[in-house]
Amino acid sequence: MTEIRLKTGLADMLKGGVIMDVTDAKQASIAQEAGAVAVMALERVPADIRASGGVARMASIKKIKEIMETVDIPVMAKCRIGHFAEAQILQALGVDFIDESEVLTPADDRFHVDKHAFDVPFVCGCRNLGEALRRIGEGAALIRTKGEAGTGDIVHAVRHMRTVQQDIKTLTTLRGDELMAKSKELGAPYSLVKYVAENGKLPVPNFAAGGVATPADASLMMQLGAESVFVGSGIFKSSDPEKRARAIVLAVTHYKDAKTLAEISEELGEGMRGIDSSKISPEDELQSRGW
Amino acid sequence: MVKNIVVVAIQGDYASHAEKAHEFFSGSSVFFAIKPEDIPSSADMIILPGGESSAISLISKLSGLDKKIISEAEKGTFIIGTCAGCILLSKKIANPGKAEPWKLIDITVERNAYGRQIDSSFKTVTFSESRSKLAGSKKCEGVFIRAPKITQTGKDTEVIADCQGSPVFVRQKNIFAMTFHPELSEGFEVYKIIEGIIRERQPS
Repeated sequence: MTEIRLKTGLADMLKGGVIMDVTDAKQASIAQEAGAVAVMALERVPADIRASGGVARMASIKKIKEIMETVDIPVMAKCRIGHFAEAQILQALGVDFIDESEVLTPADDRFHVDKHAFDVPFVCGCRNLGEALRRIGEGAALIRTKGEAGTGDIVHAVRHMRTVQQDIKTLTTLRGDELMAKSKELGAPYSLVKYVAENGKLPVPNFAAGGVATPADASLMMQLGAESVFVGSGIFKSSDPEKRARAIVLAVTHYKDAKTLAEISEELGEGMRGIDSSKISPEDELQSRGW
Repeated sequence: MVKNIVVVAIQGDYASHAEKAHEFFSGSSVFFAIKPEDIPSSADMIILPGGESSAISLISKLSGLDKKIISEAEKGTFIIGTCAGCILLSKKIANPGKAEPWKLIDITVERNAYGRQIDSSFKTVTFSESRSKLAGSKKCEGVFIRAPKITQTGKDTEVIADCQGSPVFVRQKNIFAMTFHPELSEGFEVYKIIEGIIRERQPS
């Protein structure tokens, strides 16, 4: 078992960067060339998973290997929620981070993976503080908002990030004797609730994901408190992936500088068409997978 | 002594560096630099954090921050690079990929030389006889995360510490480079050595 400090250490190194979804070696090269700090190896980007339906599983081993051989930045890969055997295979392959992801079809409707049992670090999605702390309790070294993947609609990522931040702020205002009741209400471990109340932040980095499609979206999430941004379909579903990838990288570094953001947002071509997520029926929502 | 510390904040664990340096160099001010104009003329130390060397190299080149740091180094400003920062300060990168070396210290480095994240580890770093006096200790914890290795050092490069037979903390004049992350450890041994050497170089 690897000490959590070594796992969150890699998450720390990814701060202020962009992690891009890629489905082959060529896309991985484009991502690295654009300045991505890591890539997420996938069979299909979330927009295509959403469109094609069926069961979405861990990417093929051949594809993950090909991507690992192509780039020298960290390579992440997704396993299904609760599918610890997929996670074991990904660890054996040597991927640098595993995303136990709601984008894939869940393998277990009750339990998430025991992430403490692995040497490789895990990232997990959340919609609120309770969910974030449950995943951290299970050993996640990095938390991201779930957002609504594959839509190019930022509203859910914004809601999840604001909710987590507001939940954290609320905790810092409570008296010590109120924390146990809060822990019960959040459904989160007391020790982690106490940590957040005392420190005003999560014990692991907090990134944004799910719906980022433009440099402005990336800046918005950073200004709302994200420490890095995952971009899924937003890059390779746009008309000019090279330019958009570079622009989103620069947007995360210069997120407070609107003048620079205006410059880099020029001549980007068309963004992904996207889906208005309010038109998605609740049973098609990816964010409600996992608890 | 060290009053104005600049932490390069393009990407990586710059926040941990800022916190740790501020705690050690009491009374210092910390500035974050993304663009060249963010470096105040009064800067006396610039820290390059860990992160992804290819991303930091590229983004700093686009804004000209790389050239600004190189000119600060030539002026004598103390420069400290950890992990990705060490890679960028080097004279030569054996497997550069998209990272370009700034050639500020005579070392050759190999990126990700220990392997992937699964090979990241805590190791014991041993200081040279003379420098362990400054640290007040012979050893310290080294946090190695997808770390590079220093495979060659020039004749003017001092090896301050090694680990398993390889140099892991080196210096040439005002440039310090290390392959591990002192900002992620509890102790201040590395900072004490840097402070001691700065004192030697700036007799009051």
